Formats: sequence, structure tokens, C-alpha cells
Amino acid sequence: MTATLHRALVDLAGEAPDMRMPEDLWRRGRRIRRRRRAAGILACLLVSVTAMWLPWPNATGSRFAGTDDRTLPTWVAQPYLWQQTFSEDPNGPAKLVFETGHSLDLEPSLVVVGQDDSFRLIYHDPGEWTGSLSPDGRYFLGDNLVDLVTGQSRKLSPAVSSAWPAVWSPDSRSAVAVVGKDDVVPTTGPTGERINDPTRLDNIVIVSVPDGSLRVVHVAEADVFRAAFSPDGTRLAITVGRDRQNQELLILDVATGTVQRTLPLGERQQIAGSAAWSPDGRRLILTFTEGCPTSPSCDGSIPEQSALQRFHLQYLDVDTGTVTDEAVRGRPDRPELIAWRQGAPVLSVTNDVDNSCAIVRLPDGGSPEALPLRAAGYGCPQYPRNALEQWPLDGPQLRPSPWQAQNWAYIALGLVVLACVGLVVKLRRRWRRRSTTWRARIAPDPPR
Amino acid sequence: MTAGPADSFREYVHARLGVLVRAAFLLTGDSYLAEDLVQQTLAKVASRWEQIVAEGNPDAYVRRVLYHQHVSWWRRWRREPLPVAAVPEVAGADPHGPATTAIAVRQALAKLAPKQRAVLVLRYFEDLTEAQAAQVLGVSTGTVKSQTRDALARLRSIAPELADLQEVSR
Repeated sequence: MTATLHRALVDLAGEAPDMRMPEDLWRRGRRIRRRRRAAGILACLLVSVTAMWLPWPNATGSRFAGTDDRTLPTWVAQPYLWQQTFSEDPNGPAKLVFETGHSLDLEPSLVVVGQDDSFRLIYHDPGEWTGSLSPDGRYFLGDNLVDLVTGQSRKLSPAVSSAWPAVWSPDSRSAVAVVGKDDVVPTTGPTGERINDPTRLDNIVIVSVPDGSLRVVHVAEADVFRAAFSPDGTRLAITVGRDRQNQELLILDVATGTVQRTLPLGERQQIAGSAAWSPDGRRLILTFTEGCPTSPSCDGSIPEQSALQRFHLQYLDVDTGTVTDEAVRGRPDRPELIAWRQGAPVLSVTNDVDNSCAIVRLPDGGSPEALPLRAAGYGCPQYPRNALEQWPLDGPQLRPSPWQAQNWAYIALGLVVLACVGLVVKLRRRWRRRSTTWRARIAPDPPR
Repeated sequence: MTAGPADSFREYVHARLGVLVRAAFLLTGDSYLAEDLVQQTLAKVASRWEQIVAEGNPDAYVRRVLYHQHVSWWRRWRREPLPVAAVPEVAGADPHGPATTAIAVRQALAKLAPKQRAVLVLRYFEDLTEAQAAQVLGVSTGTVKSQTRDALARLRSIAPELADLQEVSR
């Protein structure tokens, strides 16, 4: 039977015309291969990108981090170059912020370490200044007022000056800043006369956090501006004046802007920092610079001069205006009083030569106590004042998670994985080809 | 010096083109469609040529692509006539021998479903066993058996001159 069908099929197949295959068959095959590979890569990327947005446990974001722990870490490492950005996934309130050059941005970037120990990067615009962290760690006031919890950023109008970091009120509801009015760059008219005014007074403003509004509380020359809120937030101490020779300290009523007291300051005296007001509200801490008082001679460019940067504290009785020096003299480096802990002031002390930072507590009558607070990056990290005053300090060292990454890093990783898989497949094929050839060589000839 | 993959592919096409074209002609029943089918098959084969050669049996892979491509064409375009319940007027017995039988087979094949046609070509033209045909088509041996049985029954009803067709298991 089947012989009939076989013969019929063979006869029928014999009617098939002679054909010549086109010369480009091989090239067509290669095109199909390229298309298939491109589609494969695209599909993998699509799956990877889709996977990133799935609500998996332990995916990107602050879910990587542990639960909120209210201790300050003894040491904080640098972020990864591909670290997730703050704008993509806000991680406030902050445990600390610090500046780093360890990012892919040309400018130094700001690292926000959340209370959940997550790391986020904020890339600065060229020339943008860092800003100040609020005492509760929720807000950051730089060129914009940023809510670190929601990620919302409010542009202030008019813009506050970047020359003087804003100082926060203790309740984190407002901050004092300067709106500069000086015409620093000289502008001349057609006949060469100067047409702008370098002596215009600056506005000292209170920035309201809820609505981002600015209220002028004082108008003065702010070249030597520094400020500190009283513990109850009702009074504000500021330093005003054109230069160190003419500076004076004012105590203002925050609500009305009324000047309650004016005290002349010497060229070596200055408000010690944003937390200069003592917890009982009766004293204001000043720093008295020993050695070289003016910036040009203390710029740290010459090591011998930097060694001269010394200071000691002074206690100003706000009611009487009397100033008392502490017993110690010649404390090193450049201080900033940032908090009070167990009744003693806490200072961040920066060495201008190597930009190193130490955070020390100065107990009354005792020797300075270096607090275990270190972070990688430039200069001193900023801690929320409330945390510095109330939280334990012996927290474990903090390192960022490499998986808290920006989207492009996941895509790049996907490509690397694909390339590796491709390489393995290629090597496998090559190996299989070689083993086939080898088997063919050693196989005995078939019997004839 | 060893030949590159493009050269070895060309050599393979040169050696096997006739066989492929004849099988494609039986499957499609049309010389132009057969040419298209072979071209598409070989282009696909070229896209994986190194891998196919490494596996050591290009014929098996090429045959698999050819038959799958044929069925895939049918699924996509349904150019082929579908089997009908009432068979139209049939030819009488063949008094003139094999040439007329071939014509009758050609007409009958055209009325089979593509998978049935493929089974017949694999089993009775390429002379593959049921297991080999099953491997090429990616189906079970049982499916090949039933498809063969149905195809032969249909051939017998369409072409009475093939009435002596019987299924032979191998």
C-alpha cells in the first residue's frame, strides 16, 4: 500500500521546479538574529523596569531600612554613587544631613540620612548653598524650604541670601534669615558714576514654615549676621553691623520686631551659634576669638596662622548686659554652638585647615568631652537639635544600602546581567562546538 | 583554515536545497509557496546557524522549522482549503498508471489539513518512523498515528485509486 503512496509522492515531488536561493539568505538570517536579540533585551528591560515598581517587600525606598530608632550613629559612611535621590523617594524626618563629594554630580551633594537609616542624595545646583536643618529634622531651609517628609519644596519670595545660613526657632515653625539688599557688584552709569548702592540695608526676616511667607523683623546691615532664638522662641538675638569694628548685638521681640536691648560687641566677639541662648533663657553664649580675629589672616592657608585660631566662651547676662569670660582659654578651631546636652553646651568645631570636624560637649568646669558623632563627607554634619539634646549617642555605625539606588542603576545592572548571561551562552556554545568537533575527530570511521 | 559559519551555511543549502524544495512542494502544493516556505525556513535557520551546527544534526532542526513554518502559515492565513463534510465529485479508478496517480494524490493532498499533509509527507516521502515524525512535529507518537490514519482514510475517500492504502506502523 504505502509503496503506492510513496511512489506517488516521489513522482509528485519530482514536479517541484528547480529553485535558486537568493544570495542574501545569510544576511536575512543575521537580521532576524539581531532583531530577536534586541527584542530579548527590550523584554528583559521591560520586565526589570516593571519589577522595580511592583510593591514587593524589601524593594527600593525606605522600606529597606530598619524601623525608626532614636539613637544617633557613632559614624556614618559615604553614600554610593548611585544612591537614590531624595526627590524620588523622600526619607525625612532626617537623623542627620551632610555634604559629600561622593556623587556623580559635579557639585558637592547633600546626603539626607532618615530616621529609618535610609540614605538619599540631593544634588545641588551650581552655586547653591547647603542650608539649615530644623530642630525636629523635618524641614530644610536653603534656597528653598523643603519638607523632608513629603518632599515638597517651596520657593521663597523674595529669596533669602545664601551668605548667612538660616537659624531655626526651637519649635521648627519658623526661621530667621537675611534678604540681602546690598549691591555688591559695582554698577556705573554712562559718566562713570556708581548707580547702585553698596550701603543699602538688609532685611532680616522671619520665614513662616506653614505658608512660606516672609516677615521683616528688622532692617540693618547684615555683614556680620548671626542669630539665636531664645528657648521659648519669643526673643531673638542677632548680630548686625557693617564690619567687625561696628557690630552690635540686638535682642528683638519676634512677634513685633521691637528691639528690647542693644549691646555693642567687640571685633572678637560673636554670638556662639544657633543654640547660643542658654536653656534657662537668662544667658547668651558668645565666642571670643583669640589670636587672629579677622578672616583674611585666619584663612587657614598658612598652618602657623591656623594654629592661632583659638577661642573661649563668654556668658552674656541678657537682663543686665554684663559679660563674663569662662575660665578656660585657647580652645582650638572655629566653633558653632549647636545644642545643649545635660546642661552643657555642645559645639561643632571645624578645623579650617583640613575641614575636619569634632562635636564636643563643654561641661561647666570640666574638660571637653568629644561626642561619638562622626560622618564621612565635608565638614560638620548637621543633626536635628532635638536629637542632639535628647537622643542617646551610641547608635551603631550607619552604612547605606546599595539597593537604595536610582532607576538608571537598576537599568545598568540589568544590562550588565544581560551581558553576562550573553557571554555565558556564547562561551557555552563555543564549548559545545569545540566538543562536537573533538568528538568527531576521535570517533572511529564508520564501517564501509 | 576552517570555513566560517556563512560558508558552512551556504554549503549546507547547496547540498540540501533539492530535498527541502521537494518536501515544501508536497506540503504546499504550489511551487511559489514552496519557494517562499524554503526561503523563510532557511533564513530562520541562518539566524541560529552556529547553535544548530553545534548541536550536530542540522537536518533535524531544519526539518522541524520547515514543518512548523508550514503549519504556522496555515494558522496565520488559512489559505488552504478547509476540509468539507461533503466531498465533491471524485475521480474514477486510474487506468493509466503512476503519473495519473500522482495527479490524484496532488489533488487529494490539497484537500487535507496541513498537519495531516505533514504527517503523510514525513512518513511516506521522507520515510521517517512514527517516533521521528512525532519529534519533528512536536507531538506525541499517538497523535502521529491517529493523524496518519485519518489522513489515509481521507485520501481513500477522495481518491479511490488509492483505495489500497493501509497504515503501517514502524
